Amino acid sequence: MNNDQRQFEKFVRGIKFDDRPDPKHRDRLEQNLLAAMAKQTRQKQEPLKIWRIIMKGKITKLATAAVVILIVTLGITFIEKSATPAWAIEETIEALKETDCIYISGFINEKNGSSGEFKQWARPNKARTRSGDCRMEDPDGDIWVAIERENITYEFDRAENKVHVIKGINAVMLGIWPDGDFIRKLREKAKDWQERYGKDEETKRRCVFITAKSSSLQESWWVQVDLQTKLPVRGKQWNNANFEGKPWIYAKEIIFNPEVPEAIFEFEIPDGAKVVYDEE
Amino acid sequence: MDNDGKAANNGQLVAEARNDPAAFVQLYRGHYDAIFRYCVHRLFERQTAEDVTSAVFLSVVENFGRFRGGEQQFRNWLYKIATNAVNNHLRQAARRNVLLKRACEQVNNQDSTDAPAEKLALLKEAVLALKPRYQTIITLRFFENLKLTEIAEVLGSSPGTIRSQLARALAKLRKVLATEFIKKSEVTKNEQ
Repeated sequence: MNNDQRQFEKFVRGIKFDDRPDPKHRDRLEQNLLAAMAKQTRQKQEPLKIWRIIMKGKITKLATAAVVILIVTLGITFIEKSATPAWAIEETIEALKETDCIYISGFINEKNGSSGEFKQWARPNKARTRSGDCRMEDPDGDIWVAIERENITYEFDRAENKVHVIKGINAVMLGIWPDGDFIRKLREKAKDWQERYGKDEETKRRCVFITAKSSSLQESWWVQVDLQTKLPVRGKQWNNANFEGKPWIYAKEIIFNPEVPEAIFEFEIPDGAKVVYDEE
Repeated sequence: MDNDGKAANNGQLVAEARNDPAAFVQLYRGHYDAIFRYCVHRLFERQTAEDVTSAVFLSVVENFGRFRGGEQQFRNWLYKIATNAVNNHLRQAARRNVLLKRACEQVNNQDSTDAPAEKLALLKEAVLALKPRYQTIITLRFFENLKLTEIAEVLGSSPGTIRSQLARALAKLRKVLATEFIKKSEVTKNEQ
């Protein structure tokens, strides 16, 4: 060490310098770092997880299938040979405006032969263009609840006992409420649209039975509509173009404006469930 | 325990800390004091030093996945991040001026008989007047007691270059400090 260094060292040693770290700051920062680590880990894992939910989640497919059944039904021209005038799509859309809530329940039949019950409730957003509040329960006991006023979607994964709290109303949920444009487009693009008139075997009410195929020919539908109410009462979707095998989804009951307890559109985090916060 | 000993003990911990929060906390606690001290020695302000220390460790969390090495390298990596964070902070002239102003205010507010406090204020002014690189070398060498080889690793340079830069930094410092001493002496004389 040369003279300059020794002198400077001596100079530094003669200085009172409070450089003691503050344990409070150290502890606060420690908490912040742990939170940052947790967030980083979540960000690494969750995009895949969310993608898996969106693309493969039974409940998501269910939502998509259910809305198509509804739309197919509501897009019907309702021409009965003995009845005039025809029921136009525009009138269907107008009628939909009078609907405050839709309930659908039925069964899902998987390729592996397993079958389970599902339930869906949805009511429109304020603009009545999309779903606002929505709840879906699938056969595995998984639950999705979208709450419009909170702008939050809860997804409960029962198998993992985990709740994903997703900011925003998930895009899949938004699609449930059939708006006018969607109805028009679907009706225009559907293939092999056929209507057969008859009576419901149980209620003996006059109905129209519609069959149609998606434009991609990857799905086929069967929908039963009550001609008095002009509303669908049952529906089926096959994931093939030829109505082959058991339908993937069988909407056994479709109710418009049902009595619904407010708690249906609320979500309470189950005891012991892990809560994960996601960005939509 | 010397710096090498501490670093060696952290070797296994560095590996575990990548995926284990408890190990990360242990690693953090083992280095927090040193990094805070380095920041406060560079910035002469506790509050600012705490802010920069926070930024350093948050950056560590962000980039830990990309860090390759252990033991000694981790500690040097921390100093490297801290050096960049401090230099970025000082690079903004406004901030630097604020620090200098506060240092001057402290000098004026000090009791003239309090020699160590006056020396500290002078040191602040003198060090902050240096180039950031010289500040870094001075601080690492005299406050953190790093060897020239360690400083060289932190700064990505050779020990020879660091040695000559240290000599230049000290020469500048001596000049600035001498000038400041003369100024202060003249002011004191005039006041008397």
